[in-house]
Amino acid sequence: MTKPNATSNSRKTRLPVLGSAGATPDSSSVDQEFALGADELVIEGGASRRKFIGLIGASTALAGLGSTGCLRKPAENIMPFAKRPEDLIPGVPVYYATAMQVGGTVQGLLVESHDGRPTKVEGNPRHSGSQGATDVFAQASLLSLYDPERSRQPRSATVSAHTFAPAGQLEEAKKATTEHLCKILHDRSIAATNSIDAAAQAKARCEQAIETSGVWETGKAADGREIAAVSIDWDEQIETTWEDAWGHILPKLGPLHATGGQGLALVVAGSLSPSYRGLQQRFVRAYPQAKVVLCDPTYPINTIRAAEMVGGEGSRVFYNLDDVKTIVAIDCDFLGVDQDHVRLAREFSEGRKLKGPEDGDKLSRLYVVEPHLTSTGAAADERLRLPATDIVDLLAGLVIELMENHGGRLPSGSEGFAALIKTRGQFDDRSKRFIVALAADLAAKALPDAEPVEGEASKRQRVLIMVGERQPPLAHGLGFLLNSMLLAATVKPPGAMRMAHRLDTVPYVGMVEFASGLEDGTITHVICLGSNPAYEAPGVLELATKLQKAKLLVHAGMHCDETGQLAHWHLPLSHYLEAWGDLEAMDGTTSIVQPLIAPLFDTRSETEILAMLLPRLEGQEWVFSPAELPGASLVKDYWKSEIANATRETQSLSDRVWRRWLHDGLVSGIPRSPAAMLPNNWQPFADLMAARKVDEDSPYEINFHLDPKVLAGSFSNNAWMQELPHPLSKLVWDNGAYISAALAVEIGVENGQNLSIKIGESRMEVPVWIAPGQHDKTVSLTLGYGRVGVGTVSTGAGFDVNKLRQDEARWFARGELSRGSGTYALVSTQDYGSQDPDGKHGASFGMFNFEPRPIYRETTVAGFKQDPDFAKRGDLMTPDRLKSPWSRHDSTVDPNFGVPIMVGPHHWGMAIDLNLCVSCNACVVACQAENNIAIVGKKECGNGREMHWIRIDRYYTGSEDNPEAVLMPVGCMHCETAPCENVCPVQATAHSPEGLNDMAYNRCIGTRYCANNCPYKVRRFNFFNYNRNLDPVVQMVKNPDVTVRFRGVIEKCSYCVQRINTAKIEAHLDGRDKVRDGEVISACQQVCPTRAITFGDISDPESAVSKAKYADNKPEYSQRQPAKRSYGVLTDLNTQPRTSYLGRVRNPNPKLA
Amino acid sequence: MAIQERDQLDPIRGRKLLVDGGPSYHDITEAVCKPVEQPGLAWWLAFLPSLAVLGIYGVSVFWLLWEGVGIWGLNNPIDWGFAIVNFVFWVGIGHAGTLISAILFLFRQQWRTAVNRSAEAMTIFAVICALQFPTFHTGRPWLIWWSLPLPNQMQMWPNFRSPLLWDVFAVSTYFTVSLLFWYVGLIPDLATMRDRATTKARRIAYGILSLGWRGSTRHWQHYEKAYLLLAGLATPLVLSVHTIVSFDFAVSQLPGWHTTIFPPYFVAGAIFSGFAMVLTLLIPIRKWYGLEHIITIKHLENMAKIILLTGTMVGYAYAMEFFIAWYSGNPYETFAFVNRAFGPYYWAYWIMVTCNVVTPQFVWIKSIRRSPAALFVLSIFVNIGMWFERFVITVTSLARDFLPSSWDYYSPTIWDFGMLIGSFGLFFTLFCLFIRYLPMIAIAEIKSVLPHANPHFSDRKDGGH
Repeated sequence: MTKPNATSNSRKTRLPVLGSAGATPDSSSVDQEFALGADELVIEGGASRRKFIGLIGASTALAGLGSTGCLRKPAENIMPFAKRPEDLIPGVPVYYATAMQVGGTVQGLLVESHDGRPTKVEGNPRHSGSQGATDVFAQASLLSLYDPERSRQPRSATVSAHTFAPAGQLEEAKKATTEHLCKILHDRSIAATNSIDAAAQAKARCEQAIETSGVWETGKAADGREIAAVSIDWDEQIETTWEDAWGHILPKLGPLHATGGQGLALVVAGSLSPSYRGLQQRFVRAYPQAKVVLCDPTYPINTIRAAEMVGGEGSRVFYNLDDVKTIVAIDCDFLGVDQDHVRLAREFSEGRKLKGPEDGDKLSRLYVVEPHLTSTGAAADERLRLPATDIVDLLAGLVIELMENHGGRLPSGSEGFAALIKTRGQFDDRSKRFIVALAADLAAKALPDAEPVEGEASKRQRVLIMVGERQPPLAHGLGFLLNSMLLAATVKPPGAMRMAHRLDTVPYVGMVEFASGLEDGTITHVICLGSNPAYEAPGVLELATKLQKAKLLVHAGMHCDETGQLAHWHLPLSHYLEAWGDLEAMDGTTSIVQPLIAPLFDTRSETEILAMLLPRLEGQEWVFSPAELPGASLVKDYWKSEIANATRETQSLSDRVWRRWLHDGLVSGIPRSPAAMLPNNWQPFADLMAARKVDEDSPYEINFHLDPKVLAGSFSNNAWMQELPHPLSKLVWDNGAYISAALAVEIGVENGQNLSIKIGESRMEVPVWIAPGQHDKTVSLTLGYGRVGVGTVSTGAGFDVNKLRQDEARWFARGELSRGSGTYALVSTQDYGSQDPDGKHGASFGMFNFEPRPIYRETTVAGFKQDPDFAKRGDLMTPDRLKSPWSRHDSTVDPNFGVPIMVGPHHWGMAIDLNLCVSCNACVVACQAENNIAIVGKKECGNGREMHWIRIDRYYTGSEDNPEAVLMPVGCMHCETAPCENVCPVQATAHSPEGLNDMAYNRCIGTRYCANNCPYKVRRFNFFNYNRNLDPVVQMVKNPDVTVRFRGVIEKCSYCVQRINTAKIEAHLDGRDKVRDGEVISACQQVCPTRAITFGDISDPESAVSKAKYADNKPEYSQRQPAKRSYGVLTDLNTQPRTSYLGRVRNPNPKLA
Repeated sequence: MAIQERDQLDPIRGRKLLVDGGPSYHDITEAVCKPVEQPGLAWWLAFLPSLAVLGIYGVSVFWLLWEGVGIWGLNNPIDWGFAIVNFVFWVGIGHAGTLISAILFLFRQQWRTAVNRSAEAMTIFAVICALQFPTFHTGRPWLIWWSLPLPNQMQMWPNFRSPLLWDVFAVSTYFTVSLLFWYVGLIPDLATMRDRATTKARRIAYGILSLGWRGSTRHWQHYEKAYLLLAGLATPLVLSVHTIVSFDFAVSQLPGWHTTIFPPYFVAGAIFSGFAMVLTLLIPIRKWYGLEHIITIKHLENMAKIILLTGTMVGYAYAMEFFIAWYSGNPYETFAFVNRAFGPYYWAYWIMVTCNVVTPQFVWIKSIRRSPAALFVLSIFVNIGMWFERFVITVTSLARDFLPSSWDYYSPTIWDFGMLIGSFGLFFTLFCLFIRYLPMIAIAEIKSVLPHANPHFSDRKDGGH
């Protein structure tokens, strides 16, 4: 597989740039000097990256110098600390507010910057979309910034060169140009292939190409010399400069502009940036005939389409879970990858908090209906496995049940729709019972006229039906109808389902129209801006082939990806941490995206590129200027005009306001969401309902999902994400075909054996991974894998299932499954998953059905009331039998003898609430980013050597046909009597006076005895030197506050000791001898969207962690009673762990028991 | 080989003769010195392959130091693999020598004289092999000296609570005492070699090593005293070394390791494997070098009986582990043992049981225990079984412990096998060098058990001479 970035970059400085190379003997002295300099910059193949990086700046500067033909001072980007800038203390990190978009989700961020280098992403507590937390994507985006395989400069297969010759010697100039260009390609070939023959061929091909198809441009320079320039289409892309790119692209836009953009298509990803959308609107005005194509599998197009159907163009729908008592997630992974998942996870968690059994009635209840067990399904109280195709029927059944048996009243205008609602075929018993029980539950809580049901609260409570993005608009329409019936759809807060109106919508067209336009030649010029249609588009459209028909294909992306490799011009995009921008969350919260670092490579933002594609009015004429507009001014100018519009020109954007926006990460004072409204137009859904058809012939259903790690591919070259275990299957570095055990038996496949999947005419083979909880007639596939030529990380990882997709808006299809040929090694970090906390069903240890392992402890609300001490039931030894090793010691005889006294002012401890953990994985990546945890690769993961300091253990419980999953974050427990400490022969791991189990990497000789003796298996060993030969760009991601470990030492969770020490130093400087509660936040705690992790000082009875862990507030923590749900894992070993867990309480519907 | 049903009796003591064929003192000297002075083709046939296998060891160690222990099949739950298995295996082998030389000496078991020298050499070489593994298995072997209590300005001190540190002391003490004991016993024979030396180099080398031994009565008196004292010193070490090695496991809290039966069980197992290795070595050697009259069937038979005894003890321990695991009522403990026998490593467990419990029972049959060929095969089985015992203890316990989420499977790599096989190269190379340069039988001692060494030899009724 070719890796264009990795191999050919080495010759990047030999740019056949228009005007950059002078080769004739009588060229001017400036050109001569430049040519000599350029020759010196040639890096032969295999030159080190370090040297390469070092040369980047120089080459960029030289390129600029050549293009203008006069000397220009290169931009100074270094910051000499001769005078220390204000507010900047070397070594002390600074935080800047910014924001990031993931699909339809916007998160406000605070990014930690060490001496100008972003090292950690945190949530902005003021931003509604993140509320101080972030998701796994925001965490991993940091590594994407430092991806050395990112595209570094424009590339093109159109290569060109020019030379000067004395006046009148045009033929000489042409000859010299030919020679010059062919020599460049010749030298390049030598560097790439190391073969003289290949280079000679390249030279010959070049000469032939100039002869047959070279495009000549000739002219006269100001001093009268002749200029001859030639362009040819070369057989591979070659690095070039922005000037060169604009020099070729802009001239082609003029004619397009003249014809109103006939034949032009702008392919964009879904964006929530007001300024970028404003530019898109300007684009539409400038090119009224052009098409703006939306190509973004992560963008919620079904949800938007449904919202626009019911509320008119520009309508958007979003949910709010504050105080919602019954949440029905219909194929909606709102705790995983669906829209607003961070905010919703936090709001969801508020309804799941409970202290004692008396809070059980206040607990919200989550119903989940889905074909594939997701994080949301694992968090469910009641879960129904249902094929995605049947979900419209389930919703229809729910509407009918509510109308017929509970007196549900239809919202006005929906009668026509309601009359058409019917279910298809028969439900099985479980689904029937589910619908009846769910309708009764919803009616009891939310229907105003319904009689209070015995045992349920009589007061009307808030309920919400959430339909996931994977479902078609019809399902969303049914969801809107149900929410309207249940009074969940309201205009203002506290409405659980709200609608907003966007004024700045752009009329997008779909991929099908785009593909047909390319096919019939009505689209000839394609500009892909931050989108990758060659990979992301449904395979049936065959866009990778059709795109090649375009006369001009420009691609801008962070990687030279599948589309970039086809493009005539590939332009590198900046990372969001390098670019100016703005983002508006679905609920209207708006942030300015400010860069934390100057672009590492020669990149531009989408906004900057789009601005270049727009003509500028100069006098009476529209011109395309090669002068670039900086993103900062584009964004600021946009907001200046916004503020002027909003205030009817009475106010302008002051610097003070702008600075406050940047500081807070929030745009305040501008009403940007003018209209909130209710769903009122039901007719489109009636039409959809009437036209509904299901392919009953194909027996199986194939589901596509956004991958919870790499989404649709935006994180596939991110090693943190590849190595992150999938939340449920724990697969790393691959995707698989998730099927149930029953289906595996039916088809006759096992884990790792290929499954042949056929939809229509598309067929491919994907290895099977048995996923309990999957519906028996369905298979689930995730997008984002099987990338080609994007980078070494993503190469060879998984399978590109886009090939099977038929339509970008359809996430499931009927198809056929059969046993494929061959096997593929899938790697999961958790080989064994079965365990049975309640012991009802027996653990799957085959014939040896052992007593259950009391590791994960859970009960139901009713069970909690019956036995408030349920969490203590699993202990093999009662606490009074667990004697401290020093308990026999008589302190009156010798108070100090042998007794380890923890003399520190603090005693650190952690509580993890299993009721709140939704396995979003954010803590795992946050820990990786904070603590410089190494990536080991698929092979080493397969060897069981992954390095994560915190992992999320997943166990399945219950019966095989209706399993539940429980998830448990496990890091070092910091045992007070740590088994690891006494076995280390060199005392490399020892206890701190504050109760931390510290690891002295320098002292460790690597006997690994500690790891053997750790009952929680949280210690990780550096089997190799994983940090050897790290690319200098990747090295920048390392946190300077944490050691980078060498081969042969053990490492493990330190409770973020670097953060503890920073807080202690600050307290000390502040004149305090103790750190206040909340001043130390561990990385996992900080990132957690549900606040499942509480960390702090347990010696302080009033600290949050003490309150979570203990029932009373005695000053001595060892004498306090544990809180109701609090328990320790394996405390029977007398390890006395400092990390304790709060047992899970599910809230199932008693009628479904 | 025909089986001797009846042994000849010592005319004086009336007990079985320890040396067959009634050789004279000179015959003994000649017989023992011959392999050293005229090494035959057999020696080269043994030495060169050993050296080749030692080469495998060298390559494996080089690659290990270059790349790190990641080249082995270790993973997160299974942090100890072949290296620790090999360590315990070799330390166990190293038990027979000192047991034979020290404990049997104190108990006046005179049959030990024929085998003690080579058994002690075996001990020393086995311990050398054993010491390789804890060193090289560490992540940073170049810092292994940090486990020694060396005073330093940083006040870094080893952790005396760690069984690994006890190991360092126990094994190094054992090695030192065994080496001294062996060397002291060698002195009179080294003097014999010196006196018989035909080349200057040999004369000087043996001369220096024999410390000026002239065989005077005073020399003998000091020698006997020193030997006795060292025997007394070495005796507790035989028991302590493997007890402490077993603490590496027993002191931890892993189900399957955390077992009080380990010390006696390990010692019994060590003696078991040590005697098996003595048989493995001596049965071919006595044949090749014509020493069957000195290392007689009676010697082999005695050792086979010890193998039977210790093998049965080991079998008892296996059964008792299961009983206690069940009796404790601890689900983790119970699971660990059932998992051993029926889990993914069941094959290792049943190899172990077959080799260690079933095989020794054949020793009950007289024709087998008096057949060198049968005993040789049997000893190989015991060696294999005892290696697997350590594998079963180390790997199966680690592979599936408390949290099922961390369970994994251990698959050794080619480098694991390289180190295992290579260590045999090291062992056999050293042993070949021993045969080549040192008398493999204690000449002076064997002479002392001949009938005519008995002061009452000339008092016999038949007159004698």
